[in-house]
Amino acid sequence: MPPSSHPYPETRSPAARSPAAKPPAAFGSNEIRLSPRQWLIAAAIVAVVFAALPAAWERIESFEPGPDYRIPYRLGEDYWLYRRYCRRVCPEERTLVVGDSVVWGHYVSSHETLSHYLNELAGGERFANLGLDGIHPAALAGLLEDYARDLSGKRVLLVCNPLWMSSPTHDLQSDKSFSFNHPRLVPQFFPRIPCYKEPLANRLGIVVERHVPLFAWVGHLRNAYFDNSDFAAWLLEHPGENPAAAVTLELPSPDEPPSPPPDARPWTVKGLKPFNPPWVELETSLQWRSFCRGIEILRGRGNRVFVLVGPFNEPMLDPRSLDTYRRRKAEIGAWLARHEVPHYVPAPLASELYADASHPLAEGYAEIAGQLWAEESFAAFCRKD
Amino acid sequence: MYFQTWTFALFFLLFWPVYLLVKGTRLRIPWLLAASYVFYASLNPLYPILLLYATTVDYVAVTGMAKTRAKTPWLLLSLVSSLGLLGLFKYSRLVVETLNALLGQCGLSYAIPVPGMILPVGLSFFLFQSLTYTIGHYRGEVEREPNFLRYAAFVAFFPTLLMGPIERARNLLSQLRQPPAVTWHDGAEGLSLFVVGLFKKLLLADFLALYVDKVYAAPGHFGSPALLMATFAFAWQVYFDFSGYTDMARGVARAMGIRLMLNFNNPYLATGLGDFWRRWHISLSTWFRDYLYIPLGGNRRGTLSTYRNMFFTMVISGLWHGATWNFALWGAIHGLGRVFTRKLEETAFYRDRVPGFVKRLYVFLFVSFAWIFFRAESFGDAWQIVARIAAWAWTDPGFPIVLLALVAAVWLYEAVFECRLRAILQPAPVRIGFAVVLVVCIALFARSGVQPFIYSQF
Repeated sequence: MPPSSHPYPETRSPAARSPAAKPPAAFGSNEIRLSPRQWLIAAAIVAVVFAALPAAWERIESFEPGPDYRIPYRLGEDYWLYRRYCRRVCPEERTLVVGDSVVWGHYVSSHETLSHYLNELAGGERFANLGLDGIHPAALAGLLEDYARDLSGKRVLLVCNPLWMSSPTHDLQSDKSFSFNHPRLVPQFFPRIPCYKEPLANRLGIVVERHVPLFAWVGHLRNAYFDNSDFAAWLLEHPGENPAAAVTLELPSPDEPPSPPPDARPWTVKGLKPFNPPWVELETSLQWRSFCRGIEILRGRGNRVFVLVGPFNEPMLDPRSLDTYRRRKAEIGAWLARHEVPHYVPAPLASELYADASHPLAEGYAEIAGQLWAEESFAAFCRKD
Repeated sequence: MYFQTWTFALFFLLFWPVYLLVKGTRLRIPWLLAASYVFYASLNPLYPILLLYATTVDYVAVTGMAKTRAKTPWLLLSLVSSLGLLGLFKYSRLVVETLNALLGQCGLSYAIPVPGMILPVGLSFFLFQSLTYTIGHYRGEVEREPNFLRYAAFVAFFPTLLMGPIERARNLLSQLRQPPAVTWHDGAEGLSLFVVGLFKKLLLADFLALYVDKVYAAPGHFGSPALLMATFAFAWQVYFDFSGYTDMARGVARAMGIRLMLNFNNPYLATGLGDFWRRWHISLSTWFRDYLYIPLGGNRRGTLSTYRNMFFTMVISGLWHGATWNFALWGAIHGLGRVFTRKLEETAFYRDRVPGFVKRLYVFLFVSFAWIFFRAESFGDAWQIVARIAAWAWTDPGFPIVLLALVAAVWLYEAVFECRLRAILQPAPVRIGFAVVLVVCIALFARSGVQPFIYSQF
């Protein structure tokens, strides 16, 4: 391309006229060549598009969470939807139940969860299920920090599942790399997570994604409509299809079962054996530190926090491990008391009310809800304005 | 780190402001050099040792040349060192495997142990760039560089280090000698180049790669249409992949006030094979023209000699790309193509009577055919692909229609750029519109994860 034929010929640059003039070089083989002012205009348009697309999408895609709504299992990594759900429940006078699959209700339907039974006892829509399947404390802290800002000032019932501190692997302290849930929510740099070996480029990408809503929204589209794969991979799998037609604007039901479907029978019937987890020390536990950070984040935003410690299926523990677990539980309670965090440690349920080590079945949830509802400190927590 | 990664974004955000601050001071070259070595070490901490070795040898060679009238031994030192490194890291495996095959043919059971060395990324590029200094000085075209750090910065210049363009010492080194006057226009134009390159890599090359990789991984499982589509798709993939990298490299350099040569000029709009090689990987084509074809005699010693030189240069160029006989064959196909079409392309009939689209189609088909040998995992696979395409039988290729439309749109854009309608691409709103669309598309549709560049393996 002869430089002179271009609207921005080389000679326009002051540098080109200076004594240290640069040798002529063709600019490129296309016309996409913008001046600084034009880039400013383009950047402004891009910024508007980035901000407007996710916002406009909320008007296009219907989202009417009912009283027992929970994030559908298939969209468990759709943090944009989680943020949207937070925004939706935020104006309501509801206590938000936050935690892992124990809150979400891994073995039960959305009408058999802790928040559902609490609503029954309260006689109205006073609790919302903001649990996410598989979210361990290290990820939960990230979720609260980056995607749950809209919950500021609300009452939060936070469920602490001690299972995450039952072994160095659960505690993410193993040096050996392994894949764990919700890696995009854990701290990417500090504190260091020994088993998390993601390359630097990907970690930086995750940090950027947390701060640019458009990227989280793209993740939502992939999760909800493109089989959780990226656009190119989906195109390859569906070569003749129109990708726009795949965007049905219908989100999965919160009762869509996890994959593979869980066996919702008591653990004793399923033939599970008692186990002997080694448990990590509370003061060295990464998950516990993360849980504390989660409380700190919430309180820093003016949330009123109540912690439910457990439930945990104690009869499933080997007697050698049971003592250690009880010590940990007592330490957790002591820490919460020391930091003036209202909390409740439910009395052990009958073992047959559990599907595994920490997940109650429907009846178990009803019983825990009953215990909690009868607890004076919880009643006080719910009464407060 | 590669340009399309967030790591590079962070690296450049740290590097660039400091560079702008020190560009008029004595710290400019040390800062650029340190950044380039960090950039290279991010791929493998041992790579900079090789880079430093190659830099030192060539610097010493030219210093030696400058101090004596017998320059040839010093040039030989540089050539032996550079080509020796290439031979060791790139070709030793091919040589040993070929020897072992020959020994096997002769009935000998002895096999030489196959070296397991990994080819350092960018080796072929920075060695060739450094050779432009030693050969250039030997020929009297390039002045000796008295400052070792500046010369080291020329060899290690991070925008060109991994995959070129293979710059000439007389262009890049001379720019490094003067403090650059970086203007807002340089920044804006650098960004323009970078965004186009990023789009080519992330949206086009990486998308096409999915299809190509699937089909070429098991060609026996696909019918003629899929193999044909995968071959065409690879033709575009390799172009978008490499020219995308080059655009980004040129953009980064431009933002630093350095102008690098154009490396790709819409090669699939070429109207002849000679034209194709004037548009494809221009920095390498001209390198081989200047440092191999012309020294061999070029076209000065009669027709037969010209054809021989042309063919030989293309075969060597093929081998430069990769140390397998597939690449040699790819080069040989292009060499033969040039030999057989050179005269034809010079005729008035071809120039004036054959419609442009026919010429472009023939070039594209020929080049795509040659890409089969470039892309196939082995000789056997390549022949199988050719045979299966030739034995035409219709089966659904399963090629995404959206992708087809995307490639067609780019081709159309390039065609408009090179014809009388070009003026419609020039108004500011059109250019701004394109820039916005590129950025938004990258944000929405780019594949997750970092896909390597094809040419990083060369």
